[in-house]
Order: sequence, then C-alpha cells, then structure tokens
Amino acid sequence: MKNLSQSQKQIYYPTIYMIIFFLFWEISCFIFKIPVYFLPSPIDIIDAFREFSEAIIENSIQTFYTTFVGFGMAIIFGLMIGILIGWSNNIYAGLYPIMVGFNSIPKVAVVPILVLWFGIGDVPAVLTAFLISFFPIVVNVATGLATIEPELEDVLRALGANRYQIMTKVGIPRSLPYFFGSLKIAITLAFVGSVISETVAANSGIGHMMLTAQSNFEVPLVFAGLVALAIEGIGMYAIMALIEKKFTFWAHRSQFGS
Amino acid sequence: MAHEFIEINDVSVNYEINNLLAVSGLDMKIKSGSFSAVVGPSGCGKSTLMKILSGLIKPTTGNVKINNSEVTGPQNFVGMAFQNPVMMPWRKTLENVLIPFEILKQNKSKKENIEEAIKLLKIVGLGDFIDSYPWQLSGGMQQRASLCRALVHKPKLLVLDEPFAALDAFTREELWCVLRDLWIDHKFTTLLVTHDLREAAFLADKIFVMSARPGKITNVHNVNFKHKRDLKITYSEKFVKLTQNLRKEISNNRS
Repeated sequence: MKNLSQSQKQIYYPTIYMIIFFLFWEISCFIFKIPVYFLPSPIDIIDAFREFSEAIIENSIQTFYTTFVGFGMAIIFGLMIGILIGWSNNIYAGLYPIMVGFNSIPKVAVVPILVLWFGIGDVPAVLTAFLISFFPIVVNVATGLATIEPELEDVLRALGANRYQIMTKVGIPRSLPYFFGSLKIAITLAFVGSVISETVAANSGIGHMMLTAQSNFEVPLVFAGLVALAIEGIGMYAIMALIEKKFTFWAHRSQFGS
Repeated sequence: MAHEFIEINDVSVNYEINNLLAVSGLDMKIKSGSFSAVVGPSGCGKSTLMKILSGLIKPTTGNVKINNSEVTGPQNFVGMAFQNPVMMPWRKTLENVLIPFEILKQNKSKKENIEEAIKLLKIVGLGDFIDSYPWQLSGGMQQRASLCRALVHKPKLLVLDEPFAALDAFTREELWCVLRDLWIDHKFTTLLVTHDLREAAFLADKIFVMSARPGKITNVHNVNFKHKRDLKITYSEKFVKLTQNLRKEISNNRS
C-alpha cells in the first residue's frame, strides 16, 4: 500500500484495524456462545443503538456539554497556573506539592462533596471533568517553560529583553507543543470525569444512562453507552490532534517510524 | 586615532553555584573598530569573558567599561552569536533575524527593518531562504542566519563565541570570508572567542592568549597581515609560524 497518500493512510489503516477488532469480537462471541447479558456482540450493540437511538443521542449531548465546559475551564486555569509556575521557581516550589496532592485524590471521592455543595446535576459533572483534566495541562505547560534552552534566553537577554518579553517571545511559543500534547490527554480524561460524576449523581448523561440500563439488565445498552463515549472521545481527540498539528508543525518533523 | 572602546580592569568572576573561580585578574583593552580574538585552553573562562562583556553576568570584582561607561547590564549595542545557532524553530529565517528589532524599540518602520534584514541575508547568501524555517537549513546556513541576527541592528560590538566550531572545514573557511567582508564594510568592534588558532590568525588584528582556569591574559599578539586577507595567507610561512607559536603558548598554559 505504498501508493497511498499520507492522509489516505490515516483513514485506511485505522479502518482496517477497527474492522479486525470488531470481527474478532463478533466471532469470539459466536464461537464461545457468550451470553448477551455477559458480553454482547457488536451486532447486539448496534441493535441497542437502533432501539435506544433517541436516549443515546440525548445523553451523549449532555455528557459532551459537561465535558466540554469542564475541559474549557481546565484549559483556561491550566494555562494560567502553568505559566505562573513556569514563571518563578518559588511559585513552582510552593504550588507543586499542593497540586500533586490534589491530583492524587481520587475524583470519585470528590463527587459527593460537589453534590453536597451544588446539588445533583450539571455542576458536579462539569467540575469533576475540570478537576481531572486540569493537572496534565498545568504540568505540561510548566515543563515546556522550564526546559527553554538557556542560549535562546541569552540571545534575548543580551539585547536587554525583560522577563515578560522572554516569556512571550520564547517561553510561550516554546511550550505550545507541550500544551497541545497535554490537551489530547486532558480531553479524554475530561470525559472520564464527567461520566464518573454522572454515575454517582446525575439525572442525565451517558453515565446515568448506563447505570439505569445496568439496573434493568439492558447490557447491550450499557455497552452502547461505552461505544458512544469512545466515539465522542476519538472525535475530540482527533480535533485536538488537528489543532496541535496546525499550531506546532515545527515541533513534529521527526521521521521516526515512517 | 581610535580610542579604547573596551576596558576590562582586573576582573574576576566567581560562580556562586559551584564556587568556581572562572577568571581572575583579567585585563584587556580593545580599540574601537578592531577585530580581536581570544584563544586559550578549554575551560579557561572564554565564555565567561563573553558574558561579562555583553552584560549577562556581572564581574565579582573589577569593572568593565565600554565607551567609557561601566557595564552594569545588557547593552543594546551588542550583537551576539554562539557555537549553536539557537534559532527559534517556530519562526521563519527572516522572522528570526528580525528578533533584535522586536526587543530594541527603535524609531524605524517595520518595512525598513525588514529591508535591512533581507539585505543582510542576501549578503551572507541566504537570499533564497528567507521564508524557510531554520530546521530546513543546513548547519552552515543556520550559522549564517545567526550572524545576521547578531548584526541586523547594527551593533557597535559583535561578540562571537566559537561561532564556526560545529561546521566542516570548507563551510568554516567560507564563513570566515563572509565575516571578514562584513567587518571590512561596517567596522564594528569584534571580539571572537575561538579554539581554532587559524581562525584567530586569519581574522583578527590582535590575539589574546588566555591561561587555564582561573583565566587571565598571558600574552597578546598583534597580527600584521594587511586587510583584506585572502585565504592563501593561511599557507604562508609567517602565518604558520604565528599559529605554531600560539599553539605552544596554549599548551604551556595548560600544564
């Protein structure tokens, strides 16, 4: 398949691999006679999609909405704190342990507190998505700023540049690849956060739908929820990857693996 | 008669981080518009010398005067280039060369600055590459661009820290000639820190020999070949003798 263009390859190979994956799943379910209530086959899941299309779409939009708002907040605060930490060694030393501590707390444990404060609904889901996706952004932005080549800084400093100029001319552009790289991790984590919150305390969203389906023994619908989440995740990841490529093409020129 | 442009008086620099005395009792005088080279064994504090001249670090004792005023911080009339071209990979070559104008607020229009930068890039042979990214250029081409960035704001003092050390012999000699021509046309005071004795002898009027750490000047050679020099002189007896003397002094300084 050497005569495929780069963009054709990006569609061709994932499609082939995905078909193989689902075929393997379907055939395994058939050969080992796995019951539907244990592991539904892809065809069972498609049936569930047909049957419950309205509920799936509605709840997907709800999950997407809370995830996206939480993710947006994570970008804004992550950038701000990342730059703050990268700006000064003292702030870095002071804030970093607190941040690591916060990140070590299981977010499931935070949801009941959020419910206590904000009640059941969108707000806990948004905040859980925010809390879980915020840390990788901070760490990556701070790392990008901390790893500036000192020579690059010297070139500007020798001309009399101040800290602000060094930050805007070198620091921020230099850490963009780290930032965009972290967005890919953060967006998938944000989905995890929303769904965790929805399964604990919500009246809508994919997480809530899956929980309800599970208690009704609608196992194919539980899996349909997982697939819907995976599709949303892949979609958002692809968008982040595209943005990354557009803004930081200069950092992605290695021929490794081609 | 040209006055002393740079005066370094009994300077020592002690790095606090590892309590390292990099240079000590350093004295140098450099005339305006001259081309000086500093040679010495490795780790003798040549880069430290360069940093005190550009105001990036302050001497622990002693003082540095440029144009009769003491250097206390970065100077806007200094241009610098390093062994590593340190280009910003997210900027095109032209945008890289324009950086000094963005830091030094000058009363010139953007258009004039761009014209100036393009003129310089053409002189060093990068006219066709102004819209290329630095990582699309070879090492020698990047170093040419780095030289342009150091010179674009018409600095009175050009400080070069082994700018050609990472290049192959042919490219290096080619860039010697580029630098020679630029210097003859503009007569900016130049200080070249180098390991390459032929490079020092070919380009400089005055060669300062430094001792091992803590570095100080042990000898000064005046180079009397007339400008503009041709690469052929590097094979002349006088030239070879000069570089041999330099080599001997440096190896004596090491032990």
